[in-house]
Amino acid sequence: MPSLYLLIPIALLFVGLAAVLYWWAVRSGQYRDLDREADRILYHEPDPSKRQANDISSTEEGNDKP
Amino acid sequence: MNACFHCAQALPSKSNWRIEESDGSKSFCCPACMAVYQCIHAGGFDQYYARRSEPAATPVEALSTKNYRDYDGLLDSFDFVKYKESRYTADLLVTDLRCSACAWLLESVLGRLPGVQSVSVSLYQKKLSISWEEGRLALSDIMQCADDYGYPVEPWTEFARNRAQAETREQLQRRLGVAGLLMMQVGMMSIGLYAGDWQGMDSATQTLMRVASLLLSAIALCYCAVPFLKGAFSAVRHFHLTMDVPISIALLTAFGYSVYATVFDLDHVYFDTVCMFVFFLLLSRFVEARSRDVLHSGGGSLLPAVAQRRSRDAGAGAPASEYVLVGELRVGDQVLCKPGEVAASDGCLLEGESAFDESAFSGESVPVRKTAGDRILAGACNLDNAVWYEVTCPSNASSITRIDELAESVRGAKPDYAQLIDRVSPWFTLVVLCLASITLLAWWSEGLQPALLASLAVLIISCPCALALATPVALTAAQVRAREAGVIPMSPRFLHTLPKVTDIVFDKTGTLSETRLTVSAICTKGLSKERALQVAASLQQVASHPLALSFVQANTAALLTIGEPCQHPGDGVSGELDGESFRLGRPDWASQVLPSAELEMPQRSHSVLCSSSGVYACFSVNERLRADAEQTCEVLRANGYRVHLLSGDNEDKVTAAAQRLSIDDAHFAMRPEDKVDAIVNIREAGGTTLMIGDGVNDAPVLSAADVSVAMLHAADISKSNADAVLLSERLMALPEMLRLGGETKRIVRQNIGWAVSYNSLSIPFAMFGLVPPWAAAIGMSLSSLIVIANALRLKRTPILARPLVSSNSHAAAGFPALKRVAEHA
Repeated sequence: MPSLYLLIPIALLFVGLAAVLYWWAVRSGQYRDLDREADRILYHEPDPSKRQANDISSTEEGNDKP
Repeated sequence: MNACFHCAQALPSKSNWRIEESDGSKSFCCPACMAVYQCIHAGGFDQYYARRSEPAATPVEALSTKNYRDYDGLLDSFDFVKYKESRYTADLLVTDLRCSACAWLLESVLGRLPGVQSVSVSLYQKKLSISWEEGRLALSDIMQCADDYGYPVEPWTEFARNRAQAETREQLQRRLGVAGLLMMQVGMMSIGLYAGDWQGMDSATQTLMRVASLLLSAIALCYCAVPFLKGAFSAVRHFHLTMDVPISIALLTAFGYSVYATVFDLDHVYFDTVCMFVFFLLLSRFVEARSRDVLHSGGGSLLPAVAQRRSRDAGAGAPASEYVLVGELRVGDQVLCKPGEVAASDGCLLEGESAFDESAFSGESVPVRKTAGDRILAGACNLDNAVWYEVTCPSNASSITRIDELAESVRGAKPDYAQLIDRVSPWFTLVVLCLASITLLAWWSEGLQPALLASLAVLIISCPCALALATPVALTAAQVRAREAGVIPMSPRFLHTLPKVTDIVFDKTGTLSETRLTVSAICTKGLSKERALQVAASLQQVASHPLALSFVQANTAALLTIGEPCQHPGDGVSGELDGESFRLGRPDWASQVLPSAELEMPQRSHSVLCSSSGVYACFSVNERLRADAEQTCEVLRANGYRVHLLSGDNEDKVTAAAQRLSIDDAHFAMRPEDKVDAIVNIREAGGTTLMIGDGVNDAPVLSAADVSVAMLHAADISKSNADAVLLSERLMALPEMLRLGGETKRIVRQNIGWAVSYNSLSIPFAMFGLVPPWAAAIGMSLSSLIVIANALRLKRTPILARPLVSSNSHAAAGFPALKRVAEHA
């Protein structure tokens, strides 16, 4: 089983890599909100044609509620 | 469809807030909900409604104007705002965040504001972090924009404390993930090693795999296991035994022996045991920490951050008033409180008059009218018009703080579940350590290796892993189930104490009843009830009172145009319709226009509509009981619980509610102290109490009860004194929780029974050297797995379906992932 002498160090390398990646991901805040990320893929950008309308209408409509 | 399209609350009998669109008509429960919907629709964010899993919060505040402008002047003195390189960064608390769709909506909306550089919303912490360029945008614009979309925001306080907490949790998370990776890798190699023992393996390969495992588990020990080793070290230094001590001894011995075995090429190594042990221990700590701090930042702060104070030096040219931080207010300062604002400190009204909403303090559901000289409570919301008041005590001695202190003093009196474990674990530890040393001594004559192996087997087998996991695993599984039912347990005591409960105690306002008031015409003269409500609602258009909103909601017809509308603060409204001048308001005020002084009306009337030609209608103001309140009380009684009602509200309202719910034991006009006494009485009679409440006045009684639940909209102080928070407004979750509590108790018993019998049966074998350490390790893992599998059965405890958000059902059709989300909701 001489191939193991190569494969096991490679496996160790990969574990180390995965651990470092995980460490970085936690550090950069990607695991901060576990409740949200699962749903994120479901959202798409809102309709761009209505973009302009939003900024104006939001303030106007907000203020003249009956 | 009879629920509001936006907030999913039940619609008033005939709602006239309706929008016809190509994809069907949408009904709303109030103009505020409709305005928010129009806002979202105009912005092109309609997918919010399709994706959400929780209904939106009802924008009750929308009628009052929040004075966000106040924040702009003091931007640099706040600790929630930071300034760096012409960029401001602010952290804001968004209490009404419900699900990931809310977070997405808020991010998308704010991201479009000009000058915003980055915005992120954390659903977990209910926190909005936003940074923007100086000069292009004011903080108040951001706050107002979020408010327009139905999410009132406030400053994120206790900034530093939360940051430290987040840092600890993140560290734990890093350790857990790394331990998981190491466990998998070492486990893989140990399978190779076990296979080698079975089939034969040349010693060079064996050594290679052992060395690789050694390296990996050394990382697990030196990095992942640090919290346990540290805990054990400090425990030993203070001559105090905790669970960390045997855990650390087992870890160090297993690792030390395995290193020794690797170097001298002995039979077995236990690196996989080390890694697995570390991982499971970290997992249970992580789950516990996470369930503990969920929602702790969820409530809003009760007092505003800024107050408008009348300048002390009245010199010429000095501004009449200035904005100051609330903490800087001193006794004698004169402070302005505008409509819609919350009083910043206790005080005495100087000029003007207005109505204050004190329902959070007293349970009184109808606003209280205050005139000059009356006492104002910090935290009460001003409803009618701007008033000046004089500060009578510093903010740290206000009534709200005293209630908190009362709650604190009661809390210390009840035994804590965690303390029990702390009391037992030193003895357990001591016994385990004694047994291990006895084994070591007894085998000493046989030589070092068998002695070490036997005592190691004792340490591993008696490792309280299954025993330590027995309760937390069951509680964690039950907590997951509770969350699915819409309840978040805040303390481990919650599920633990539920099975003992015999008495259920309800608060009324906001708990059994909805937070909004409803208006109905109780008698009319010469008008139909519908017409009376239409006239009344039209008159109320000018008012900014929550009661006015209730009138508008109760009305089903189109609003009429009123001539010369006028609001009379504290009294009512007046206006002209078809040449006749009407008054609507307090009976004694409205009746002044009557030619004769006599006035006949039912006792319960709250408002009267009249003109000079006579009284047209009387209205009563009612609370609406929650839809499932009756069913909940019935189910509770059917299951043998005694139901009580403690309320601060007046006699009429409380007896009416108690009659409808057939509650025999109802108390009214209770102060916080009275409620605590009532609970103590029940306990002295031998009962165990479960209290459900929401107001500030409920905080002491929530902590006095054996176990307590706060409503989601409850004040922060009440939530922090409760053992669990009800996420939805579904009261039926309570009987379900009681059942879940019983199931949990059963599972915990089974688990502990199994773990104890396993340990006590196998320890003698290990002491006699009949169990090699590898078998002990497998036995330990197996017994832990059995405990875990048993606990997972709790996730199948039945829960009634939660009411579906109407928009979800059609949006989810044909989309399996969404259907799942919808079913969860």
